[in-house]
Formats: sequence, structure tokens, C-alpha cells
Amino acid sequence: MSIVLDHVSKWFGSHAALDEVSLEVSDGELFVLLGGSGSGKSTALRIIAGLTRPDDGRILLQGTRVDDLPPQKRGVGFVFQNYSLFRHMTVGKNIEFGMRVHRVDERERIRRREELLNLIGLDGMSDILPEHLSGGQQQRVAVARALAYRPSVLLMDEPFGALDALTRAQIRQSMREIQQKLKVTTILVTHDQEEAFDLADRIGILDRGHLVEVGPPHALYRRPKTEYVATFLGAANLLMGDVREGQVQIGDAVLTLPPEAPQVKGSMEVKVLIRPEDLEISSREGRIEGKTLGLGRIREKFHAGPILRLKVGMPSLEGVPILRPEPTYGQAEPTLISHALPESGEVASLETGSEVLLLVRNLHVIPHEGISILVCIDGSDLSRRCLDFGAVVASQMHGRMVVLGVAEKPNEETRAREGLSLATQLFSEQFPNLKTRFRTGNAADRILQELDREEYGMILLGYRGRHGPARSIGSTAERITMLSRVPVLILPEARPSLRRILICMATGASSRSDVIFAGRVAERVGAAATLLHVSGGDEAEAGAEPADSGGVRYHLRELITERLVRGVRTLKLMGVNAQMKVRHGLPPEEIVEEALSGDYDLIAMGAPDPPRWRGTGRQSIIDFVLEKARQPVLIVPAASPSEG
Amino acid sequence: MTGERSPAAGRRKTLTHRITIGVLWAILTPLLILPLVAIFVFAGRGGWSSFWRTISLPDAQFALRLSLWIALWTSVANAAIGTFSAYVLSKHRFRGRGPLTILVNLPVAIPTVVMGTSLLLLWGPIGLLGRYLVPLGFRPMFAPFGIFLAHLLVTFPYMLGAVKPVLDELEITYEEAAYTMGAGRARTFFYVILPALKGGIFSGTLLTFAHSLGEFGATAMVSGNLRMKTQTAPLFIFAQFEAGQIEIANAVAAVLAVLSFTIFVFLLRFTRNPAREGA
Repeated sequence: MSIVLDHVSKWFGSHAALDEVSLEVSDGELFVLLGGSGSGKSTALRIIAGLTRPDDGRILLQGTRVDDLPPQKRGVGFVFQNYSLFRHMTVGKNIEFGMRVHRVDERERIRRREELLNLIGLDGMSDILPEHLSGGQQQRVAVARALAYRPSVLLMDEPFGALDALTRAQIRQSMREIQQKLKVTTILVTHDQEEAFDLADRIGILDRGHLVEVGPPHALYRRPKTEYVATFLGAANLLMGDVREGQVQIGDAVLTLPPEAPQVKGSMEVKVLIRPEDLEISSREGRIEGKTLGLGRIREKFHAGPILRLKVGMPSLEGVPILRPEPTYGQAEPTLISHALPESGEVASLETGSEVLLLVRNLHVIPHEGISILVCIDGSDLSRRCLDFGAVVASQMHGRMVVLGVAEKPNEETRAREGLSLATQLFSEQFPNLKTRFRTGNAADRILQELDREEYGMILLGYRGRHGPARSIGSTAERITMLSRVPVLILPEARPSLRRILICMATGASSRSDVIFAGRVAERVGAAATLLHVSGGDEAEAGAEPADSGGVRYHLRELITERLVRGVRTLKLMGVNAQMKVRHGLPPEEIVEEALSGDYDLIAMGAPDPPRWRGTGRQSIIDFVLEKARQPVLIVPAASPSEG
Repeated sequence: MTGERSPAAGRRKTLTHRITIGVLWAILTPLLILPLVAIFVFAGRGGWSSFWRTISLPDAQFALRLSLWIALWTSVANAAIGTFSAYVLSKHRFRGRGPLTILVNLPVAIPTVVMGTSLLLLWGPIGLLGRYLVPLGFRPMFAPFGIFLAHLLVTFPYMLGAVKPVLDELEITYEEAAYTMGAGRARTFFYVILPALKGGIFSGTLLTFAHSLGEFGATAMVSGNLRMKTQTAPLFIFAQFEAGQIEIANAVAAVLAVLSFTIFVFLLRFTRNPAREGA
């Protein structure tokens, strides 16, 4: 093994740039670390080079521990995104720099320099200053400079990032050739999937400091182990299904499982991945046993470069949770995407609106782990309530529970620890994979930190009621709701089960994610959902008769009804028993009124825009509802993660 | 804009253009140009021979030579200390970095006389340190070394201001590239960073030299203005003027003006970035 990372972690403040990353790269391999911005990929590279010190873990290069060695002693070549060529040195001097430092004698130096210049196709340009070279040429000089003193490994940080698309493709090819010719172990960091697929022997996918999956490009694309990778790499149709005896059932369709899929006894809930190119569009006749997904209608059709992209409406999949393509608010029917080659005659001739049969050429299944709920407790009297309700939600959603005990002050430590042992005592039987964690420090900070470390679907916090002059739900809940992308459930009192859910549309940002997320919860637990809209007080005064109100107001009412109808349709498509309700009056009061009269188990709302939290001098709607209705409130941020 | 333009538009353009330029000249002539001309007119009044005679007076000779020496040493010392400070302030993160950055730039904002006074209050016979050091024979004030100290203090921001922006623009990866290739800190500094700072250091040094040559306020405070001992050229000019020896004052002033002018021509021609004042 040329490069080994063993449980390497790096923290920036309370944020984990890398969280226990372990990785092995073999001799001569070209390994690509792929991830979005802030995923920690550059940090990983800098740690290997010794430019950044890790907080924890070991690094081995060629079998030697290098954790304590400075970058000078590690023998790595590093290519920076901005190349960092020494501007006052000629190309030749730049390439020779490392060899001079390593006291390579002049004859060898010149020989090597010429060899490298030849390799990168810049013969005879030794005496030119870097500023006179094009971006692509500078990039190649940077590579040659990093390779000149024969480092044991080559590290490249977004090496093609600053180049235009055409140059990038050319350079990528020549880079691959150089790497293979010299057989130098290489780690390349990029956010560009195409680049990763083009170059890599293996790809490692980083997400917020976690190495999610490692594997050859094809395997990662075809057989991802996680939903993250399935949706991160390329386009995907991802639906919920059940595996049973070598078959997978999606709605009414029964498809044959590929032989490499996990074989299970009994039935198991899974996420079914169907790549768009594996979703074949066929004429109406031509059902194939075990391959037919059902009838659909072409809704959109457009040329995307060399392929034909089709959106197909699938009424037969109504009620099947579809994770990708993400359902849009108020869409009329479940929609899947299919890619085809434009030349394949039949598809090309099909018009938008024509009815087609969808065949699944290939599919892959990912075991469904269920939602992971983070229950936050401090060991006070609230904790029991939180644990009880957390268990209700987790078991009804077939999910998992992680209990986080936080002690803000040293004297709260015992209490918090007792709370955790209570959790184990009460629920370890019901949830065999129940996890408990203990942290000290500011509660909001620790909770946000935990959200960084693991993928959670929901956070559960206790609500103590208003205390002191506070006009809000409490600083911890407030901060978490503002900063987290994960929905937050705030609990004044526990409920025995989840049967009725109230979804409030009058509050919060204009996003539809609240309806969609609450709908998913309702679908999972089999609860009925009520979609509530409260129209403003003045409108109520105008009376209920449309004839009394002016045209504008009438139009507004139409819009609201339209929104509600679309919402209910969205929920029904997800398989939720949904109804709508309109109330007139002030939103906070009307929501409480509805909540009390309907005896709901959960009230879902969109997260308010930050300015609405404070500064108005009024109590926030959320606080008011918590205080008056004493029912659990679920606050959904504008963009929340998808969860089945 | 390279297309055909109607002659009328062209004429209008030329007219406004001419007026603008004319106004600029009208403002600058009495403000900047005439005063400079005046020096040479007065200096040259008695002809070349009288100019040379005045210049060759031992007092004048000494003052000019002292000024040049002080300027030279100040520049050299400042190049080293200023570059080092700029490097540390730019590349290292440490407690007190912010306040320190403001502090080192203060001499630009504070009147030089005050800076001179502060030196006196530190090193002078009754100063904070001076009261212990002077009896031991360390007597920097009222000596050329004191002038050097004062000039260093006053010109420090100019060096910093010329070098630090260049360093700030130099990405951290620039030196990291050298480290990964095996170069140590010293090697990286002298072979990789310093060459990139050449322009900044050069213009900083010239600025320092020019400022030191003309420094008056702080020098007047710390030098004691002792004839043939600590009298720099600007002090000499002032003293002669006060004594009514206007011709002598003018001759030395003309020499100083020519020197400064030459330095600035250098500065403008040989530095890519125009000189920046203050950091």
C-alpha cells in the first residue's frame, strides 16, 4: 500500500472537515477523491502532504508513518489548483527546483528536465517564464515540477479546475497517460464527476467529512451501497419497493431481481435504483415478465447533448414513495426519467403525450435503513417524554433512534448520563441498534456537530415552556431550527401514537418541502393528514361569500384553493389519506383552534424566515402554538433532505 | 469607439478635453510647479560659480553627506526589518496581529515631531530608558544614531506598505509548493519568496530613502541640530534660512530636490506597481 489513512480526523472549530476517514491506495493506482465543496477532500490531500496537521489518526506512506514528518520529508509531489509556479523562474528552473533541493547533480538534472518536458509536450520551452504559457501548459509544468524529484506519491488538488472545458478534456487524457507511464501512485481531488469517471482506477466519495463509499467507477455507479452515492453520481430513479423471493415489488409491478442483489428470506424494504438509461420505453405491446414497470405517458422530451431525455408520467405508481426524481409540489402524477439514444427509431417517433410501456432493463437495490431520529436529552424531567415520543415515531416509521445526552455545565453531567442509561434500559430491546452519545458543552453547538457527523432524518427536542422574558421557543431549538437542514420536532408533551397530522401552510417560508416531508412521515406511519390554510383576518371580515368580495380578493381565494388542491394531490400521490381545510382569522389563533379541535398528534410547519424569529416584538407563531396547543410541532427547513 | 465619428463630435470632444487639461495646469502650476521652479531660480541667481561655492561650504557638505549616509543606512535597515515584519504580519496568524498591523502603520498618521518627541522621551537623558542608559554611556539622542532611529521609525510604514500587499497577494500555496518539494523555510524564503518581493522591496527602499533625505520634524527633535555633528540637510536649510542666508539654503534645497526627483524617476520607471503609501 502506497498511501494509508487510518481513522484520520480534522476539526475546524466544532465542524468536522474529516471524520475518521480510512483509506488505502495501492501502488501505481490513480485514486480520485470526489466530493462537493466543503466535503473535506482538499483537507484530506493537505493532510497527506503534511501541509495540514490532522487532529487524530495515522498516515502511512510506503509503509512508514509520516504523521510527525514535515512536508519536506514526506516525498510527495503536490499539484495545486492554482499551479503556484514560481513566477520569477523559467519553466526549466521550476522543474529543476525540487531536484536542486534534493542535490541531484547537474547532468542528471538536465537529463530529467528534458525528459519531463518531452513527456508533457513542451520540448524546447525550458527558458520561458511561466507567465508566457497558456493555462494548460502551466498546468503541465506544475505536474512535471511535482514529478521531477521522483516522489513516491503524487497529490493533485483540482488540477484541471482552472481550465476551459476543451483543454480540460485534452489535459485529462495526457495526464492519464503520464500517470500510467510513470506508474506513480496518485490521489486526485475533484468535484467533477466526469473527470473522476474518466481518470480513476477507484473513486472515493466524500460527503461532509465522511468517506461514504469507495470503489471502481462502474461499480459505484451501477451498484452503490448508499442512497447518497446512488443520487450523487449521475441521474437516478429511486423508488421504494419490497424484496421478496428473488423479486422486487414496486407498487403493483413485480420485477426480477438481478442475481447480484442481496438475497433475503422473507421480505425486506428497499430503495430501488433504476438508472434512466435502464428504463426502456417500448410500444404498448411487448410486456416482458419480470421487466415491466407499467404503462406511462411521455410528458416531456428533449435533447440533452447526445441523449434523449424523457419524463414519463406513471399513474400506476401512485402511492409509491419516489425519492428521485424528487417529486415537485402539486405534480399531477408520479414521474420517472428515461434516457434513450435519439437514433433508436421508436422513441424518436413518439410524441409528448403518447402512451408507452416502461421496461426495466436493469435495476439495483439498496437496503432501506429507515429514518434515523436524533433524540436530544439533558437528563431533566423532559427527557422521559422525549424518549417515549422518539420511540413512538421511530417504531412507527421503522426507523432508528440515536440518543444524545448533552450536559451544558459540569454539574449536569451525572443527570445527562443517567438519562442515557435510562434510554438504554427502556428501549434497547425495542431498538437493538439504539445508540447513545454523551457530549458536554453548549447544547445547540453539540447537536449541530452531531448533525454533521451522521445522516439524520429528524431531530427531537423537548419543550420546557416559556421561561423568563423569552418570547421564543428557547435558544437551543431556535438556533438548531435556523441552522439545520434536518427537520426539528419540538415536544411539549408526548403522544401515544401518530395518527393525525396537521400541516399548516400559512406559516413559514414559501417552500413546499414542509408538505412533502410531512407527507412522507404520514405515509410511513399511516397517519391521516389535514392540510390547513388560514387566510388573514380582513378576509374573514369580508365574509365567506365570494360575491361580497372584490375581484382581487376572489382571485386570491382561487389561488389559495388551487394551492391546497395541489397540496392534497401531492399527498395523495404519496399514498397519504389527505384532506384540506381553510380557516379565517389570525394564523396563530386559528392553528391552535384547529389543533385542539382536531386532536392532532403532530403539527407540521415550514421554518419561518430568520427575521420572523425575532424583532417583531410578537411571540413567534411556533412558540404560540407550542404553548397553547401543547402538541408536538415539526419544523421543516426550506430545503430538507429526502427521506423515505 | 473606433468607428467613424462625426467631425463635430470630435471637435467638441477636443474642446472639453482641452479645457479639462487647462484647468489641471491652472491648478497645479501655482501649487506644485512654481515652488519647485522658485528653488532653482533662487539657487541659480548667482550663477554656477556661486552655486558651487555655497555647496562646497564645509557645513553644507557635512549636512548633505550626513543626510545621504543616514538615508542609506535607514533604507538598508528598513529593507531588512520591514520585509521581515511584512512577512510575519502577512503569513503568520498570532494573537495581537490586528493591533500590531495598525500600530506599525501609525507613524504615517502621527506628526513626525510627535514621533521625535516620543523617541526623546524614551532614550533622552530623562527618558524612560534613557535615564538608566545615558549614565552608562549609551547616548543615542543628539547623535547621528538617534537620527537613524528616528528615520527608521518614521519611514517604517513605507517599506511595509510596499512589501506587504505583494506578500498578501502571494498565495500560501506558493511557499507550500516549495515545502512539498523538500525546501526548508530558509531556502523557501530566500529562493522562492524573496525574488517575488523584489519589486516591492525596491520601491519600498527608494521611498524610504527619499523620505529619510527630506525628514525634518523628528530629526529636529532628536538631533539637537548641532552644526557639523548632527545637522542634516533639511535642518541646515532651515537654519540658513533663519539666519538670512537664503542663497545657501536655496543651493542645498536645490540639491535635495534634484536627488529626490531622480529617486522618483527611478521609482516610477523600474517598479511595475506604482509606489503605495502606507500598508
